Amino acid sequence: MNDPHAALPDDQLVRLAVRDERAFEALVTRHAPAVHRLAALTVGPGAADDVVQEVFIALHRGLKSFRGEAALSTWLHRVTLNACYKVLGARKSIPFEQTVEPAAPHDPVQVGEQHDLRARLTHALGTLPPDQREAVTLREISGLDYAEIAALTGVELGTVKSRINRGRAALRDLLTRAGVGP
Amino acid sequence: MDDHTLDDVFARARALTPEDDGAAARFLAGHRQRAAQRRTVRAGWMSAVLASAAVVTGLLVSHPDTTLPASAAYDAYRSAAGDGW
Repeated sequence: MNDPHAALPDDQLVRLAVRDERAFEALVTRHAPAVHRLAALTVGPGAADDVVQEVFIALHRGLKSFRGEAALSTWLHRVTLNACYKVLGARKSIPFEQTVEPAAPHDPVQVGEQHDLRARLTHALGTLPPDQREAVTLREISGLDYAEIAALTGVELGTVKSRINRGRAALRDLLTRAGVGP
Repeated sequence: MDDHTLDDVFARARALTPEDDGAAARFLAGHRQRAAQRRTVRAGWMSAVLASAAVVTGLLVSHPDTTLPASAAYDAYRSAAGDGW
C-alpha cells in the first residue's frame, strides 16, 4: 500500500509534519539516505547514523519554526555538515591517518568494493582543506549545483568553482597514490 | 588519474548502499521508541495529577460543615434594636 504522503512536496510535508507524524516519517524516508551518504563520506560509516539522528531530531524540533526561506534539502545539507564537523572536531586530537573507523554496527561483515572505495575517498577528502572538502562533497556526492553550494556556504560562485577545481586536482593526486582507479 | 576517472570514482561512491537505504528505518525505530517513552512519562504525570485532584475533592466533599460561631456583635444589635425591626 502506497503512503499518500510520499507524493507530497517537501514544503507541504513540513507544514503537515507539525501535527502529523506520518508526514514527518515521509520526510525522513525521503531524505535520510542522502543524509547518511553525505555523513558516511565525511565522517565514515561508523558515525554516520549518529549524524542522521542529530539531523532529524533537529528537523523534528524545528518544524514549527521552519520558515521555508531555503529549500528543505539545502537546510538539511547545512545541518548535516555542521553535525559532521562536530564529530570531526571531537576527533581532532587524533591524526587522521590513525583514526580507526569502525565498521557500520548494523552490518559488520560487509567489506564490499564500494565500502572500500568510500573509505579511501573519505580518507582522501579528509586531507583536503575544509572549504575545498565541503565544496567537492556537496558537488560530487550530494549533486548540488554551483549556485546551491554558493548559497549554502555563503561564498561567491567563482569561489565555489575555484574550490572544487583545486579540490579535484588534489584528489586526483591523492587517489592515484592510494591506488584507486577505474 | 584523469578527470573522467575521478568522475567515475565519485559516481561509484555516490551510489546508495544498503546502509544508506536503511538509515530512515533505523532512525524511525529509535524515534518511535523515544516518542513512546515520552507518552508513558506524560501519562504517569497525568495519572498522578488526577489522583491528587481526586483526593482533594474527596476531602472537601466528605468533610462536615462546621457550625459558625454566633456573632456577639449581631446579638448586641438584636438586643438593642428589638425583635420588631
